[in-house]
Amino acid sequence: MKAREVAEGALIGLHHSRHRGSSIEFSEHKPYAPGDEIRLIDWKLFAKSDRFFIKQFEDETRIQCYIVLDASGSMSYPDDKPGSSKFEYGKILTAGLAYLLLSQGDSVGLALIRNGELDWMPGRSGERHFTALAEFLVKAQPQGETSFEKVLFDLLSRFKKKSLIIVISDFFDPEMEVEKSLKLLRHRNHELVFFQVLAPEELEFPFKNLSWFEGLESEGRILLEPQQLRKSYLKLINGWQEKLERLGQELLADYQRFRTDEKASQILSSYLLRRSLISRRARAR
Amino acid sequence: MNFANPVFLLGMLGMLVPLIIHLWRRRRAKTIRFGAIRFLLQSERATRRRRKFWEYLLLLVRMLSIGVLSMALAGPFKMESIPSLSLGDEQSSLVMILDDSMSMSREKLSRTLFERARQSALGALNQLPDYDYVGLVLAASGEEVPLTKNHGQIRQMLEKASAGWQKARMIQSISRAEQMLSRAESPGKKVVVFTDLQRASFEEGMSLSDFDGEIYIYDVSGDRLEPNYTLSPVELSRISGTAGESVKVSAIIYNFSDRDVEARINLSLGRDTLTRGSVQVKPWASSEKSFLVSLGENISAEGKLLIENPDSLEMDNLSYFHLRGGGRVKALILDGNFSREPLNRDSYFLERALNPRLYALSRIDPEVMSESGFAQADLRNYQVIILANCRILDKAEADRIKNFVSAGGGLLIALGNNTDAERYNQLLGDLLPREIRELKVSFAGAEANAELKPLHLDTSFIGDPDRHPILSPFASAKGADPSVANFYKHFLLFQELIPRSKVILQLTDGSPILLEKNFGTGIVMMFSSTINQDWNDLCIYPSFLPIFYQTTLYLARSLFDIGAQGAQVGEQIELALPAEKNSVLVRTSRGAEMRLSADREAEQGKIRLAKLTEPGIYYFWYLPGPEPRTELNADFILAVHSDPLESDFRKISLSDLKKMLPANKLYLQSEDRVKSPEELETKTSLVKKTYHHNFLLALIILLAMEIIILTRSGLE
Repeated sequence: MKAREVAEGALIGLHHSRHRGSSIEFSEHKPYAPGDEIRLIDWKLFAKSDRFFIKQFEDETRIQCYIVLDASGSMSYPDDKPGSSKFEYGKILTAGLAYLLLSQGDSVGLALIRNGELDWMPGRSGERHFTALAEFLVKAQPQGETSFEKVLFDLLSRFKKKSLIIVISDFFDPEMEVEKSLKLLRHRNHELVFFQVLAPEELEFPFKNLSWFEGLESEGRILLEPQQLRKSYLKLINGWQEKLERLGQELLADYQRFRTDEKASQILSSYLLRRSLISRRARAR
Repeated sequence: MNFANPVFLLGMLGMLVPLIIHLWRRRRAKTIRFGAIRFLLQSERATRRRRKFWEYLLLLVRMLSIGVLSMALAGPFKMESIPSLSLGDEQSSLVMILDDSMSMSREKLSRTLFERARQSALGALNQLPDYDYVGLVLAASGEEVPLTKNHGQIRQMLEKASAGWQKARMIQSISRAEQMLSRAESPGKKVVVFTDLQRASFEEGMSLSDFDGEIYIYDVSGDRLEPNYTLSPVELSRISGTAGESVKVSAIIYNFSDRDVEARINLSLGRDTLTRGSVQVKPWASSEKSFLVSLGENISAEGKLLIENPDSLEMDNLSYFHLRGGGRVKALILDGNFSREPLNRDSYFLERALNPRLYALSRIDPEVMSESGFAQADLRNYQVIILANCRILDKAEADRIKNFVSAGGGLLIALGNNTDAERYNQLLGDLLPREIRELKVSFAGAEANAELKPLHLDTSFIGDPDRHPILSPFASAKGADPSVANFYKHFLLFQELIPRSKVILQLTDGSPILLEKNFGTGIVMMFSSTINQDWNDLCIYPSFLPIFYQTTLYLARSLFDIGAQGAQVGEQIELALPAEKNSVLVRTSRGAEMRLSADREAEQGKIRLAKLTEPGIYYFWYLPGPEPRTELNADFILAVHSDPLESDFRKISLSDLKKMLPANKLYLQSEDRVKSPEELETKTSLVKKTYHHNFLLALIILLAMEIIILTRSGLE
C-alpha cells in the first residue's frame, strides 16, 4: 500500500519509456540456441555467414532497472522507534520506485547490500514480480557493514546491459570507497541515480547530555559531550552532502537527499518532475 | 595559620564533589546508537586536545572554588606579635619614634627595614584604645606630631613618612619624646622605638637615665649583617704642571663587611664615565683611591665617584663633587701712588705680571686706577680688588671693600709706605687677616755700622705643594724659586688668639708675609710688604709672576673651583647675603629651584636654608644677579654627601644601650624570632591578622573564570 502511495504520488515516470506500441525496432543479434523461435532467425545474415542468429527487438528489451538498497547496520538508525528507521524509509522508497517502474512495463531487479554480501533478486517485469519484490523487502533486515566495494564486482557482473541503477543508502561508508564505487558504476555506462536517506537527528544533532555514542556497524563507542562537538560534526556532515552532490554533477548522475521525517512521495515526485523537465529539454536539443 | 571556624575546613572535602560528579556523570551517561558515528569520531579526534584542556580546567576551577570558599568560611588568621603596647583600661600616653635614617632603606627579604618599621608602628597604633594619647617623632628628619587623641593624624604621618639620607638622632628623639610626655597627665608613659639599632644612630656622649616612663625598642633588622660599602666626600686638589692644570680626585672607600673586597670605582664627569679603577679594602677598614683628571679651560661639571660592587644599600655608593675653573677674571688694582708714569706706580710690576703683553693666554684683565677714583668704580664688573699701597681714604671706601668681599669677591692687600697701621686696623678691622703692628726693617751687625740685611722666603713653605694651591707651580718648576728674593722691609702683624687666618708664605725670621682669610663668602689675602721693588726685590724674579697670577685667580675662585664646599645631609646651611643682594636662588640636586629671601631686620641679611635632605650638588645664585644663570656663574656651590658612618650597619651593643637609657625600664624585642641570650625581656602582644578577604577575592576570580570557560568551551 505504501509503495502504491509513493508511486502514485509520483505521477510522472522515472524515465521516458522506449516502448512504442507495435512499431518494432531491431536492436541486436544473438546466436541461435535450441528453443528460440525459428521465425526470429535472421535469414539474410544466415545467407552471408552460414550461421543462425536471432534478431532481438526493442520492445523485448524495455529498460532494465536495478535498485541497490543499503541494508547495513547504520541504516537501522534510529533503531529505538520501530518502523521509522532509515532502512524502513529506504524500503518504502524502493517499493514505490519498483511499483512505478513495473507499472511502466520496465523490468526491476533488486540488490540488498548487507554485511559485505549481496542479496540478489534478478530483474523481471510484470505485476507479479512486484509481489515477489515486496515479499523480499519485507523479510529484509539491516545488519553489519555496508562495504559497497566488496560487492561491487559481483554487482557489476549481474548488470548485463546498460541499465538504470538506483542506489539508496546513507552513504556513511568511508568517502574514498563510496566515491570509487559510484564512479565505477557510472563508467560502465549505466545510468546512475543515488538517493541519500538521512535521519533528522543525523542532520541536526540535537543531543545535549554527556552520552556514550555507539556505532551501528561495530565501530565501537565513545563518551562525548555532544554540545562541544555539535558544530564540528555538522560541518563534517554538511560537507559530505555537498561533496556527494558535486560527485553527482561530475558523474552526470542524479543525487537526491531524503529526510526520514519528510514524506517520501513528495520528495520523489518533485525529483521526478525536475528530472523529466531536464530530460525533455535535453531531447528538444 | 589558625582558623576562627575550623569546622568549615571539612568543606575542603567538598573539593571532591566536582570530581565525583564528573565520574558519576560518566557512569550515568546513556548510550545512544548512532548512524553517523564516522563523523562524530572524526570531529572528536580533531577537537580532543582542546576539549580535554577546557574540561580539566573547569574541573580544577570548580574544585578550587569549593576549597577557597571553605577556607574563607573557616576564617584564617595569623597571630603577629608586636611590642606590647596595651596599657590596660587606664588612660595612657605613648610616643612612637620611627627611625627614618638612611640605613633603614636597606632590604630584608625584599622589604625595606623602614617599611617593616612603619608596618609594625601602624599595627601598634591599631591596637591602642581611642582614648590613649599618641605622639610621633621621626628620628632622622626630626618631624613630629605632638600628643594627640587623633590617631588618624599619626597614621597619616606614618603613611607619608619615608626613609631619607640623614642620620637618626635616637637619644635626642627619645629625649624629645620624654619632653612631650612630661606634659601628659596620665600615669602610663611609654616610648616605643622602631629602629635597626644602628650604632651611629645613638649619639655618643648622650644619655638619658632619669626618664620615668618605659622604653620599648623594637628591632626590625635581622641578625645577619650584609656587606656594605661607601665612600667619603670627594677630596679635590689641583696639580699644576707644564702640561696644564689637572685635578686629583680622591675619596676614601670604606668596607663595612667581614671580607676583603676589591672595590671597583667609576669616575664620571658630567654624563661621561671618565675612568675606572679599583682598590683593595680590608674588612672593616678603608683605603684611599685617587684619580688624576686633566682640566681644560672653562669647565663646570658635576662629577661622581661610584662604587660598582653590589652591596646591601646602593644609595650610599655615590659621592658627588663639582669642578669649575677657567673663565676670565677682571681685577681692579687701586694704586696708592697712581702717577702718569707707569714705572713710578706701585702696581707697575703687578699689572704686567697679571697680563703680560706677550702672554696671550692670560685669563686676567687688570685695570689700574687711583684710590680716589674708587668711589666711582662699578664693583659689579670685578671679581678681585687689589689694594697696592693704599691709604684707605674713608670709612665709605672701607665699607665698600668689605661688602665686596663678603659677597664673594676677592681682595689682595699689599702694604707699603702709605700704610697707616692704626688707620688700617680701625677701618678695615676684621677684614684684615691679622691686625697690623709696625714696620720692621732688617738690619744686621752692630747699631753703629748696621747695614740692611735682607730676609728671604722660608723655603719649607714653598716646597710644600699641599700647603696652598697658589704655590703648586713651584712644586714642579724648580727654576723659579722665589726664595732668592731679598726682603728689606715688611710690616709685623699681631698674633691671633684664635687663629682665623692662614699663613701661606713667611720669611726666614718667621714673620708671615702672605696670609689668607675667609670673609663672608669671599677671600682676603694680605702681602705684608710692597708689591713693587720699594721694600723687596721679589718683583724682578721670575717667581713673582706665578705667585700673583695664581693669587688673583685664586681670589676670583677661578684658579680651580673644585672648592665646591662640602656639607652633610641633614646640615642646615646659613648664607650671609652680600649687600646689594636681597635673595638667593637655590637649585637642588634634583634640579628643583627655590628662591629664598632674607629677613634683613632680624637676621642681618642671613638666609637659612632648610635642611639638606639629599646628597648631590646644590647651586646658589645671589639675586639680583647676572642672567642667564648657569652653573659657571653660580655664586656658591655645595657638594652634599651622606655621612659614611650611616653606612655602617653594626648594631649598638646592649651594654652601651643600657648605659645610655634607663636599663630597668628598657624592653627590647627583635622582629626576628631568634632571641639572643642577651635580650633583656620580651613583651609581646599578638595581633590577629585575618585573610578571609583574600580567599573571597580568589573565589570571585574563580567564579569569573568558570563563566569564561563555560561560554568559551560549550561545556556544562
